[in-house]
Amino acid sequence: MINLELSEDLKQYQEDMKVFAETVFRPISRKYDEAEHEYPQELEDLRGMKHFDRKKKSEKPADKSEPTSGKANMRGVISSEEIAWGDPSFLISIPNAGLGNVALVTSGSDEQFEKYGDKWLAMAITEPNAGSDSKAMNTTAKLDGDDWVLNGEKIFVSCADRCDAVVVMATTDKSAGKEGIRSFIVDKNSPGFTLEKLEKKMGLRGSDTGTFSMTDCRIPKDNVLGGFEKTNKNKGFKGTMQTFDTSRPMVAAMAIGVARAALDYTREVMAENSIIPDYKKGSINISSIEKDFFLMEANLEAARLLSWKAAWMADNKKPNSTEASMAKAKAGRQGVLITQKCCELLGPMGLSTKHLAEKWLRDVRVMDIFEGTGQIQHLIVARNILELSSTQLK
Amino acid sequence: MLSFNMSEEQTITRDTVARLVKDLIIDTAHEMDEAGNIPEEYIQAAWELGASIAAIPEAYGGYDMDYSPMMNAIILEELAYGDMAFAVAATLPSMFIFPVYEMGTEEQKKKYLPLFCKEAYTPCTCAINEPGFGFDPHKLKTKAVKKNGSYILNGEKCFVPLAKESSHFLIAASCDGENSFFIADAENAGINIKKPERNLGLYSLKTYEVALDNCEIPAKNRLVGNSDCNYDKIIQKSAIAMSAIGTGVSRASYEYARDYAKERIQFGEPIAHKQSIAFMIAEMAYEVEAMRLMTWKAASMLENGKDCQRDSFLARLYAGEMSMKVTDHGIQVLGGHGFIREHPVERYYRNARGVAILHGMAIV
Amino acid sequence: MKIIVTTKRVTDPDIKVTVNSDGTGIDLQDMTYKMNPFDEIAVEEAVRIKENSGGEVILLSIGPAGFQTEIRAGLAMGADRAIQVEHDDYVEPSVAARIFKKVIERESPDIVLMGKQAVDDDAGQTGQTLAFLLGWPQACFASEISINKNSAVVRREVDKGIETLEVSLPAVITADLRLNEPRYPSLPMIMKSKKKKIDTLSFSELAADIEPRVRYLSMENPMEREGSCVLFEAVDDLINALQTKAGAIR
Repeated sequence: MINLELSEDLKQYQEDMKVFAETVFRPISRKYDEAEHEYPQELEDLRGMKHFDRKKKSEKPADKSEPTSGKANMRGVISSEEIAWGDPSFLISIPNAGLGNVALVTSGSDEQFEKYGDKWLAMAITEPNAGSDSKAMNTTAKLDGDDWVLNGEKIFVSCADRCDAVVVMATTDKSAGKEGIRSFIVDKNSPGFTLEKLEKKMGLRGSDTGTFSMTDCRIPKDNVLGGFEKTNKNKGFKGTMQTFDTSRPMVAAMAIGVARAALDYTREVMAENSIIPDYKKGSINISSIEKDFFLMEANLEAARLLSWKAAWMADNKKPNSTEASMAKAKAGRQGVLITQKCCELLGPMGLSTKHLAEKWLRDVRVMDIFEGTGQIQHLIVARNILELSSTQLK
Repeated sequence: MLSFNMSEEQTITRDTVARLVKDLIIDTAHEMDEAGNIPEEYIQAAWELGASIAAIPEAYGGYDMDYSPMMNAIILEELAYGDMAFAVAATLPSMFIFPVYEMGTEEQKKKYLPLFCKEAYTPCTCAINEPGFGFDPHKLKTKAVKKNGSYILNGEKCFVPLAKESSHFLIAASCDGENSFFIADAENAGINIKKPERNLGLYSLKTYEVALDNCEIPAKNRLVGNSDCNYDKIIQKSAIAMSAIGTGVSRASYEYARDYAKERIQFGEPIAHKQSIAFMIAEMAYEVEAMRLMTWKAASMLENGKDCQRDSFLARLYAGEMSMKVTDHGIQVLGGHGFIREHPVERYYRNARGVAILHGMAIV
Repeated sequence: MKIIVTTKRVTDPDIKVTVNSDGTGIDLQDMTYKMNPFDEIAVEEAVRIKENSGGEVILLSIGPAGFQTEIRAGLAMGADRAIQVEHDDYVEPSVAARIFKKVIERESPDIVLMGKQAVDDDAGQTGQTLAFLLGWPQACFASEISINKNSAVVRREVDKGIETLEVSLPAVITADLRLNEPRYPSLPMIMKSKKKKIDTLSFSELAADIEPRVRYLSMENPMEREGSCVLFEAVDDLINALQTKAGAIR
């Protein structure tokens, strides 16, 4: 039975997250925007929280006909929106809840989850010459006795300085294309593993982003994510793509959260100036500002519902890669457009660093880029709905 | 509980309506549009689905089932996927029946509902829209003035579907600043139905301008309503219905363009292989999905007994904007062929223009 | 008249199917399902017979536990109740017939109405096999059925014309495309079908012989069409091409 209203427990969770974002993150938002690369000690309190829960892989549900449906992804999109509303950089910088942790939860073996479950794992995918084109990856992994030996360079790694270990994607066999790609858990202190630099960014300055180089970097044989022998030929690359199916709705929600922050602020300022949106007015009888406002609100809601649907599908074990990309495409773009429009409507208040709007604009810009640019999302959606392969629709 | 899954009944209903539309409407919609007419048997077939009178008690001729705005939204999307004019025509009596049932007195219900709650489709209609610039259903220019146990109505109405074919009207008018509905018999003096309108779209739906010239309606024919159901609520429900219809029209355009792009060969390969085309189609796909979810969200609120003023307003605003965008893309994908009436995309585009403008054409 | 109608849950005939990556069957991810269209015709016919002369219509289906929407759709058309034999995997026609036989022996209907074939595997064998196993007369590919007291007169469209035959009851009759046009169940019928009973049975309860007689080795996609269409201005050019290029005529 279709019902798009949140259930009471999710509403309560949303409320809790909102209070949390408002009281913990919002007050220190500007501080770490200005103190770039400085670790926000205030986040330390979150380290002990249990961010991910998962059943052991050996404990498969016995009855196939009743797929286990959880709410982890719905909670994920709700908390992403609320926390990003408070401050998106801290969302990316919650200790022990990095993208690498997500990969560990979805693809790691029981032993790996045991060992790294309470560590902070960053995720290293992008290379100087391999952005969205994961197959162009040049970082190599060669098995040498009981070790993997990694060589290459990874850029744009979130939490590079703060994390304990990094999940690094590398190719074990360049000639095999994407099928040769695997993910490796690399401890920060592994020999040959160096943090080269931290980027200076337009936004999201409260979260650090760095470059790692690997020169004959040795890690134990067991640190290939999900195990090497067990993984079938597609697991490595597909595993990462599956991570995207759960992470894209959350990144969509993040963009929605920032745009909502801007929209809420604009609503407040409008109200102070006696412009109060009236949902009974016909579109002919409203001012240009009101029309802009309504359209932003509608687009935001549309993006939110797309992200809910994608997350709900993941929770209910339904393949959702099209929906995840739809949500990300819509939310990434609308996040930027809405925040931009709010800054325009706010006028001088949208430019001055006395207010947070300009920061949100800087923060949100990357959300139509990371986890796959808007164009990549369109490409994925188009390929899926048109049933075209990557060689037919390049 | 939050769910994007249809229940068994919702799935069967959707599939049934989809089958009806595929059997009767998809291939004939163009002819109907050109001829400016919908064959009665198609309307009757859709009427026999029973959706319009499902929630009406048996005592008034209905089926006494639970009222479900969500089910109505699902049905309207499927009907409009076939043809928007057909969707409006086939469900039009709801625009009379629902308000009378929800806001009417016992006497009004007893008298009027059995006339239309029966097996044969019997046209009755609703007059809300008004001609001229700046129409807003909350600011009606048609006025009702009380005089000696009657209301005297004066004003102009337009886009009144099947006005000439209907035996009864529900007329929206403002009375002492309060918007209200009045039940009128077609025979009532002062109701002047003009000749059929010629509109941008919906060629096969006969609509009329109706002038109310000192139209005297007995006071007992005013729908009073209460806090649960009032004029605003009817406007909300019709906004959700229009979003569902907008979703259906847009989906039709999206699917046609998608299939066309895979067949149409230029430069030695299907045009779907070009990003500029493929990305447009991707955008159409997710905007259709977004429109549907906005509609479903508002319908969920209604179904759960919540206030849906904001959600119905946003759903309709969104459907109005996006159905234009999607159907416009539909034409663009077909290029010059999109401008030729043999392909349905130009009809979808003309019809979709009504989504943002027309009020009270359908109800959930 | 007590009528059993068998209904099969098939992959949506409007969806283009592809072979899965290991070549063992078709890719079922994202698949939608429908009631086999020929079975829909059989249900319609059974409901019409009931509406004319009374009796009971029972649906019988083999399918995965928990997936009953397609059966419910048949109940919405007017069937009275249903029996679902729960099974997850593909069932070949001979196994289906042996399962049906067990249920039919329990229910002893006057008529078993079936679709002439299922649109997913297009085997078209179950009806005939079932009639043989039951030792009942069969009238397959019916385009018109009229029911007498102890027999049924069935018209079938065959190559040489229209054949009329009479079978004594009980009998197995399979429905052809032109038998009728299935109704659109109304919303009230759909809602009422929620309350109709679907009994479930397991393979083991029926103690049927379910040993397959056919082994499926592999499945592959049909070859891509390579042909192309060439238009000739004059008949002579066409003849010339047929002679020289195609070698079709000398």
